[in-house]
Amino acid sequence: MHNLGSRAWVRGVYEGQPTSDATTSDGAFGTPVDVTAQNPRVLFLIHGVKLGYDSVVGATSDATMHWYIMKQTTFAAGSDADFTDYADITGATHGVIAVSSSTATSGPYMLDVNAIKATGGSGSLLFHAWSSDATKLWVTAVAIGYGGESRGNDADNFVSV
Amino acid sequence: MGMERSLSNYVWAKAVYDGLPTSDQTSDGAYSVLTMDASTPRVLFIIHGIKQPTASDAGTSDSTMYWQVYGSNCDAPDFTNYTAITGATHGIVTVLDSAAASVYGPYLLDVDVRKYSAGRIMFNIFSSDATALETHVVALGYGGVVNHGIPSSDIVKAAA
Repeated sequence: MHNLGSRAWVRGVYEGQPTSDATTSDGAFGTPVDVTAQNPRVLFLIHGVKLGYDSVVGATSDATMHWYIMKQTTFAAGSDADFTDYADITGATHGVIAVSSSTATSGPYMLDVNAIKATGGSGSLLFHAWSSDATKLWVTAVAIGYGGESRGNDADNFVSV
Repeated sequence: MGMERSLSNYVWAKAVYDGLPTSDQTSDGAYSVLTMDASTPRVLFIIHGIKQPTASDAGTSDSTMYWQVYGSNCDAPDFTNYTAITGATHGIVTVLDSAAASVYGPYLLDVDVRKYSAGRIMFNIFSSDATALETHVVALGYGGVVNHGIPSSDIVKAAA
């Protein structure tokens, strides 16, 4: 995670080939993003969605990728996050991307989440993606935390994560 | 790439503005220059936290903030070397004095750099009142299609 000078941070949360397992695969979700008062909003940017990678470049059939933003339901400070600790957030927190073999790429897609509202004020958010074909799609996802309000708050309340 | 921070996945991020924009559209203090390469052909600007700075400094009338992206192929980072990009590359927000405690934003501006400039783009922001508005602006370079029919030599990561 990189701090930016303007009460914001950014990190890569996923880069690779999502698996075809929608529920449990550790390889299909990114690094959890902690929610703090300093960055009450988190913008997820999903880009570079494309068919093929390395040996399968030039895939000849369509593929579909699903992605979700999930919230942590079991908060255990200091413990490693596990997929089972997270649940779907209802509302517009997911997407479906169909990549045609005739176009090969798709995106970018952006999802701006009110993280405080989504998590109830603590915990973390998780980017999760899965594909109709575990070998066909490549994707990159970035999260940006931002939106902290300095008015009326002590500077100590804005320590960057 | 100067102050940009590279990420692992062909993305860089940079805080491009943090403070009170001046009322001079051409002021050196009011803009930031970004350099593009093939690995990050798009730049997303997030303009957020727009507000009157503090209760004591707050203006006594409505104020308006403007932002715009400029393009140039010139290496010299001087305001005069850039020209405004037409289209959806600018924004305006009016902060009402009657709502002094309110925070405006975020506003997102996604620019396909290849469409406008082969070299540099510049983010410029200015205010109708140099003391009345505070804002934070972050830029994210992204969008490279990694290793998909593009020679690896053309996908050089942005330097840290």
